[in-house]
Amino acid sequence: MADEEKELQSQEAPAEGSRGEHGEKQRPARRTRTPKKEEAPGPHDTLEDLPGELARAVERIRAGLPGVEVRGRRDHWLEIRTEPSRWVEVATFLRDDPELRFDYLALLTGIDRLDDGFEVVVHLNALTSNLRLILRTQVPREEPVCPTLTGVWPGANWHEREAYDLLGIRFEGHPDLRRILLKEDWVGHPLRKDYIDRRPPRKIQVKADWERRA
Amino acid sequence: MGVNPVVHSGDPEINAAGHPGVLTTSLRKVLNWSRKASLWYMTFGIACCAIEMMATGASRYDFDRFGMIFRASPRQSDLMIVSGTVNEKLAERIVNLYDQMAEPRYVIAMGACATNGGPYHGLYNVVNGVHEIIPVDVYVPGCPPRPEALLHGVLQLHEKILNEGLPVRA
Amino acid sequence: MATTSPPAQAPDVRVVPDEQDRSSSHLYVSMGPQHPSTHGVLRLKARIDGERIVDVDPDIGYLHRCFEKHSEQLTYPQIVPYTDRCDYLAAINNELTFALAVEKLLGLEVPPRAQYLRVITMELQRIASHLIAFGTFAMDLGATTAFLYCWRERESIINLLEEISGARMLFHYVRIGGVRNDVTDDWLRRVRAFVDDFISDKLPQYHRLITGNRLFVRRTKGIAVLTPEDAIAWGASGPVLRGSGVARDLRKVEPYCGIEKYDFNVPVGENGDVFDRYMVRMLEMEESAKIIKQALEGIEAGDVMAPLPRRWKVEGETYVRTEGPKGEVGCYLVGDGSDKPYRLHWRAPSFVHLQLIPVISKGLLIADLVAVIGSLDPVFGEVDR
Ligand code: SF4
Repeated sequence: MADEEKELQSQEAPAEGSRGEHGEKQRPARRTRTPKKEEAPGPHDTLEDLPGELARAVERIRAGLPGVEVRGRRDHWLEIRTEPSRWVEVATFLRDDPELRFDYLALLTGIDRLDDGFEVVVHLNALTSNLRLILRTQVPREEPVCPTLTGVWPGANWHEREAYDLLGIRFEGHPDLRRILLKEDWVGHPLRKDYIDRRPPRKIQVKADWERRA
Repeated sequence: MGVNPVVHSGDPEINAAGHPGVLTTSLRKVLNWSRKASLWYMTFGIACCAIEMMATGASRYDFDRFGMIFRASPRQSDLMIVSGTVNEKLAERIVNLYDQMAEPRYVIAMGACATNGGPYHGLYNVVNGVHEIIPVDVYVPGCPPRPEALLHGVLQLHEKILNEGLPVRA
Repeated sequence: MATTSPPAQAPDVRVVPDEQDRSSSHLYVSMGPQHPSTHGVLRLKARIDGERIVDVDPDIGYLHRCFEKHSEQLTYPQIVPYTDRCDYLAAINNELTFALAVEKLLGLEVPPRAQYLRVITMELQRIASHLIAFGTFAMDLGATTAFLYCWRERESIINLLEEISGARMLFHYVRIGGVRNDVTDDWLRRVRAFVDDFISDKLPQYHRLITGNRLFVRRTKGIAVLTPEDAIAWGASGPVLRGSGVARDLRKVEPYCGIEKYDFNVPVGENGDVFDRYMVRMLEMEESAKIIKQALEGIEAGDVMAPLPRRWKVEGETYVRTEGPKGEVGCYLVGDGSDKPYRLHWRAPSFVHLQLIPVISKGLLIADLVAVIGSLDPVFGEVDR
C-alpha cells in the first residue's frame, strides 16, 4: 500500500536499507549529501506578499465571492476551497468575471482522501492574463455527489466521466455520466484506496484448430 | 510453380523422379511454402509496440521482403500480430477478430505485454498475456522488441509453417 | 491505513446499451477498435444519414493500463519509464514533465548542461512525433508514400537518441535530477548535421509531396472547422488550439528548462480546419529545428545529473505542465512525504482532444472522419493511460 510507511524519519538518517534510493549507479561526483531541506518551503505553501496582479485577483475573488477561502501559493497558483453547494456558482463567477475570465479548464480530477471523503480538484487558466487557479471541494465518502461543471466549461465532460469511472464520484446534472475507460459492467472504482480486484478467473480458451495443427 | 519451390531440399520426397525439368514434391510442402511466402498480417496496432511494428513495415526494415503486406480486414489476413497490452475491454474484441480470420491463422505475441502482461503484469484491468484468450504461435520478447526481433519472430513462424502437417478435417 | 469507508464495490453500476433507434432512417456505423485509420484502438460509434454524419460517440478505454493506480505503488524513479508509455510517440516530453514535477517538489536544481540536453532531445522528439503525425495523416488520406518518407527521417532521429539512451522508442533518458548519459561532441555535430539536412532538404520534400497536392488540399481545407471559442471552452491545446488561431504555447507562457532564452515563433492557423492543424505541425518542426540549433550553440560543459537525495521525501502537491507535441501534457502530483506518490494524475492532451470529434464532425461526410482523427493526432497510450 502506498501510504504504509508514513513514519517520518529525519532527513539525514543513514539509509540502512537504502530504500527509495535512486536505483542507478552513483558517480563519484554525485556522492554529495543532500542539503537539509526542512526549512525550505514547498511550492504549495501559502505566499503572503503576492505580486501585483495576483493580489488584485485575490481581492476581486474575495469581493465577488464572500465566504470562500482563497489564498495564493508560492508557485503563483491561486487556490480556492469551497462547498459542493456553491461549486457551480463559484465556477460561473470565475469564468464570467470580466477581470478574471478563467476560460480554460486544464484538468479536473479527484483524490481519495480516505476518511475525509473525496476531493475534487480543478485547475483553471485564464488565457488572456495567464492567471492560474486551483478550485477544490470535498465530498463525503458515503455520498460522493458533486454538481457538474459541464455547463460552465463543456470540456469538463470527459474529465468528470473519468472521475466517475475510476473514483465513483457522481456528478449531478452531467449529460452523459457513464463509464469511459473501463468496461460498462465493471464493478467498483479502482482508484479508490480500498479497491480490491475481484475479477473472476478467466477460462483459458483452447481452440479446436490448436490441436488440428500438427 | 516458380523455380526452386521448396528451399529445404535433401528431403527424399523431393525430386524422387530425378527427371530434369520436372519437379516432384509433396502437396504438404507446396502448401506450406506458399503459405509461408505470403503471410498477410492484419493492421491492428494496440499500443507502443505497434509503432515498432509500423517501423518494421516501413522503409528501413521492410516487411514486404517476406511477402508480408498488411490487410485492413481480418477476413483477408493470415497473421495477427498482437502488438501491445491487452486489457479486459479489448479482450473480447481480440477474440472476435481472431474468430473472423480464416484458417489457417497465426498469432504472434509481440512484446512483453502481449507475452505476459509485461510492465503491467497483474494490474486490475490487464490481461496477463494474450494466450489467456487466443492461442499464440510465436512470442517475441522485448519492451518494445526491436524490429530485428520481430523479423526474427516472423522467421520462426515461417519455420513452424514449413513443418506443419496437412490439415485434417475435423 | 485507516479505512472505515464502505467497500469499494458500491452498487452504482449503470449499464448503458448501445442505443439504436430503429425507427429512424439513420444508420449506425461502428468504426474500430480495429481500424487502419483510427491511430490505435479508438472506437467511433457514428450515426449517419446517407453519407453525412449525424452524431459520433467516441468509445475509448481499449488501452487502459492502470497507470495512475499503478504509480501509487511505485517509487518516484520507478515511475519514469511508465510515463514513457503514456504518449509513446513522445516519450521524452512525458519523462520531462514528470521529472519537472518531482524536481519542483524536491526543490532540485538541474545542472545547465542537462538543461541543454533536455531541450535538444525534447525538440528532436517533437520532430519525430510530428513526423509520425504527418505520415499517418497522409496515409489515412491515401498517400502511402509520405508514410515511408517520414519513417526515413524518424529512423535518423531514433538512431541519434538510441545512441545516448539505448532504446529505440521509450528512451528513459530524462531522469529526475537531470539526464541519464552525457553526450559526445561528435554526437552534437551529428545532430547539427541532421537538423541542417532536415530543414534544407527533407522538409521541402514533404511540402512538395503533400502540402501542395490538390487532392490533399481539397480533402482538408474547410473541413471540420474548430472555432477559437470552442477550442478554448473544450480545453484544446497544442497544435489543435493553435490551428484555431490562439497563440498559446506553454514554452512561451510557462517556460521550463530555460526555454525562454531561445528565439522561436509560435505558428498559428487562421481557419481552424484540418489543413491548418496539419500546417501548424509542419511549421512547428521548423521552429523546433531552430531551437535545437540555438541549444547546440549554447551548450556548455558540466555535470548532467544533480545530486539526488538519499531518501525520497516528496511532500505537497503540484501541477506541472509542458508543451508536448500533442498539447499540454500535465502531471498533477500529490506526495505524502513517502517515496511513493499519494496520487498521480496525468493530463493527456489527446484525451481532451477526442472530446472534440463530436463537436467538429457533425454534418461531414463519413470519409472525412478519418481526416478529423488524423488532424487531432491522438495517441492511445495517453488517452487511456
Ligand atoms: S511491451 Fe512495452 S512497448 Fe510493448 S506495448 Fe507493452 S509497454 Fe508498450
